[in-house]
Amino acid sequence: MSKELRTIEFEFKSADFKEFPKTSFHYGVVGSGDMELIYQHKDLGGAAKMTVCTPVTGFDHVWKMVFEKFITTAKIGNVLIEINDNNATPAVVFLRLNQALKEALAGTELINSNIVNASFLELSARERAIGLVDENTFTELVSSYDKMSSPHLPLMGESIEFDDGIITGVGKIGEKTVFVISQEGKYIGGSLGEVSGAKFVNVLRLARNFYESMLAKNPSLPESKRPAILISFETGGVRLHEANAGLLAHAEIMNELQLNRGKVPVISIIGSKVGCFGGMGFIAAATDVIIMSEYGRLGLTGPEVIEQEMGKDEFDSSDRALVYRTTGGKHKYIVGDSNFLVENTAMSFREALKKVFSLDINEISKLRRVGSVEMIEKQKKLVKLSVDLQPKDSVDVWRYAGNENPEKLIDLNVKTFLETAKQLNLK
Amino acid sequence: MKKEKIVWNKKQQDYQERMNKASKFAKNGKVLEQKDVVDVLASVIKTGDRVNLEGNNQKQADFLAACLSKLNVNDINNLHMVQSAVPLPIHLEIFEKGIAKKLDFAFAGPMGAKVAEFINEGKLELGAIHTYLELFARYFMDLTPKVALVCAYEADKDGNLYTGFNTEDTPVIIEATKFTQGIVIAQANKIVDKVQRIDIPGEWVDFVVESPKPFFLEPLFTRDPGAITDTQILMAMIALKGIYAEYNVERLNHGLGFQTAAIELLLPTYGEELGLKGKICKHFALNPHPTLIPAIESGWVESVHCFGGELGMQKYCESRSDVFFIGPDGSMRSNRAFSQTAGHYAIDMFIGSTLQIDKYGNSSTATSNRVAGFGGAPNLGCDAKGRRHSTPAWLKCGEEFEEQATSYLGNVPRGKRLVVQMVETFQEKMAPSFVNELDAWKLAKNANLDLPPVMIYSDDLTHIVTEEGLVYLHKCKGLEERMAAIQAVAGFTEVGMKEDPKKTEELRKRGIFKTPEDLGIDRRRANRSLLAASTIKELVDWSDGLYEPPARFQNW
Repeated sequence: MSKELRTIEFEFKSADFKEFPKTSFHYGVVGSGDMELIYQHKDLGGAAKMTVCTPVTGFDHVWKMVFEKFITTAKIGNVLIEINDNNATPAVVFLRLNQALKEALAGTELINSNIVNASFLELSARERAIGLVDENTFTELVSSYDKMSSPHLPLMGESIEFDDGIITGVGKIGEKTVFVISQEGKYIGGSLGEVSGAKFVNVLRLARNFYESMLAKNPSLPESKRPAILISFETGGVRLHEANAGLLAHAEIMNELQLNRGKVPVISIIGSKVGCFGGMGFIAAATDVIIMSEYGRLGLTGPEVIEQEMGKDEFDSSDRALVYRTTGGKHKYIVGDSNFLVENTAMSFREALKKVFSLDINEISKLRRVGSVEMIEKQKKLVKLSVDLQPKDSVDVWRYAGNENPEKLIDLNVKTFLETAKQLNLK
Repeated sequence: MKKEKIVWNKKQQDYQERMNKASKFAKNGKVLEQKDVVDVLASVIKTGDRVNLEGNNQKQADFLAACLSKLNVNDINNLHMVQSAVPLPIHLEIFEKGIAKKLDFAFAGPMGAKVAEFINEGKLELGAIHTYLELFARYFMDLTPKVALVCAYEADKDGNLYTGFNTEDTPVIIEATKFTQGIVIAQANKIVDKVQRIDIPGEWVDFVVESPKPFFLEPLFTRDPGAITDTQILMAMIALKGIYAEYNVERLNHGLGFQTAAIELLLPTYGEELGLKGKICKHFALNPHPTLIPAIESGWVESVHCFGGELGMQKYCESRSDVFFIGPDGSMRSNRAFSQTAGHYAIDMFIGSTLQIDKYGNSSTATSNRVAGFGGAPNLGCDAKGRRHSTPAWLKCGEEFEEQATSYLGNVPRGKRLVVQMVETFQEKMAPSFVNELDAWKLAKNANLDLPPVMIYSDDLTHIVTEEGLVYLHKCKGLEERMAAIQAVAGFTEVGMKEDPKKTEELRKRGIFKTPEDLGIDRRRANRSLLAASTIKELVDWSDGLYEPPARFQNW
């Protein structure tokens, strides 16, 4: 039996109602058990209308009751509420409807100053995009209001999201124009599909075109004013449901990274729950700079797959601490995969970004992992080391790097860790 | 009248006979070699004996359980097992093989489905399902063990045991067994020259053996703050404002779910903001919940007595000797019997979660094919009828209950324990929390139980918190009104759909039902940024690195 995504509609008029203001307001993320919605003013003769795009069947009457109860208590009219649902319980639906309405009526916007010192790990893709640039400078491109969602998922009965799990836009850090790509791990693991892939590729392209047109106008444009690209990764890789399109996007991104080399620096920001895995791990590795928090994780093959192919002795995927340790920010910093290790706040990532931006493009290029004969020689040494050393745990590598009590490093806070830890030096 | 000559020390003689067969195996004091344990058990256990196999809420005498399962069923069978918990596959294997026949227990946890199946197939004859305290009581009445197989951290050659952080049920089992001339065998993680602290005197222990690996310990009470949802935070805000603040709840127990973890993590933030520090949550009967660390570190908590230990919390507890119960040697000692007693008589409130609440307010964690057991919750989630001391929270709740109490008590005042259930109206996979009839009824039928296993009875229940709000059930007049109040918070479940909006409005006016807005709670604030710690790592940081979470909870 095919299970297609369905859209159900309800309309209801509260006896006495207040007119919804003449705006649109988006709220929420289509995580598992959660939903997003857009409130929008619409002349409906005082009624409220709700459309729900959901994979769930058999609960239409519950949706209707939740909706009618909400409109009765909230007393609003002339409003269209569009919902993308992914198995949210009535409790969650009612909470999100209320939270969003209050924010919409208060005209609340996501503000950088509320975000920069919060736990980066907890931030949504949109909050990260806003929090990484200067206050009030972020403009979203192809936002939720444009409703560019996946055309493939509805046929498979999978929930859609208005932004397809990726936030794209542009902002400023000081004098610098910064193009931002930010992935949402709560929506299908931050996976890259056709739409999210196209958004990704086109931001890279847009940044390069912007750079070239700026330079054409002013060939002596100082470094400090030249644009940069930030990618806040939170992804398990290509979206399996639309894998061909995802892989194609992957190839295009790689191509764009090459074309941007020596022109627009591309900086990876990794500190979100899902980490950066699969094909996206390759992409991060091919950028100019990688900045990670201790919670950030970077890798290619997932731990379960390694265990399945190579056996439990090689990698025990049930040992969560081992899994996180060997892919985590501290390890990546010691072996040199990550250029910076920072605290778990947008503010700390921004401080590292400012360090990067104080360098010229040639100096930034030296921070790369691949891209020159010397860099490849160094990578080959790293591969040889892993064969010679046969490490069972990241801690074995830390010891080899000259850290006498490597186990002690595991729990150290970032500041003390940076003061103590020795990085691997492959001559 | 001529008095018959009666032998008054048959138990002693029996003990001697059994020991005569077994004592040859102990070559160094009371220490056995691992390979001899099955033979020793075969020497001291007889067909039909009542045997206690230490299976607690957390620590498990798993090596002795494995040895017990290797007995020859032709020689020894029909044992009557009395034990707190049966959470390991090996516990059921002993029944599968026919070595044991009858079971009296309190908690089955992950083995709940197997227990039901075994009862049905006749492989297991069920004595009764108890609460912990109730089962301990029967150890001293009609379920005294003949042989007890227990576990400890350390033992010496004289039999002295150090049960330490995870003492749990060991003292109660050994006291019941040894003082009726029974036999006590202990597995220890380590045989040492001198135990760190004598928790059980060597005289009370017949044999000790070093187990091949440390006893199994389940981190049952660790809740990862990373998994707490916005809805749970909203409900925690409701509980704090509508119950904790309203009644000044100073002494309490928390259930082990994410709901109460959210409350613990809101104390240093939202609780502080409400000005509740020093007024609530001062004394706990509680396992060492890692999520309580921020509240302890912020100076909220004066004392915590623990039923058991919690993996990774040992060093933290030892370093907070003003709060936890620490021995002269510097290590904690938990004790389930005492902590349950404290939780039964000395707390003002129990608050926890459940699987199902029926339209009358009875709640149960049973499903139609799992005998999960009761554990400790019913002794905490009830009004202790023997309580006579008063506290402000207990008195206030009693006054509000007056309407119902006067029909029995006339004009005599009496207090009442606050018993609170917190549930989202729908749980995972849209399973409703409010039902017309508990699945416990089906289970009673499927497993031939005398009555449906109810965790908390409606007459003990005073409050329900859901995302819809809070009801004060004890303020209701009569069953019909209680049912209306339950409907008011039951959301869009089959129970909630029976709600009469007019009746709900009336209950709201009388302060029996309160929505988040009635309590002055801004739903927008119900998000994870309100948690004092949002990851396990932040708990470690709060603890100054003293909390050592098990590997499975680490994400750094």
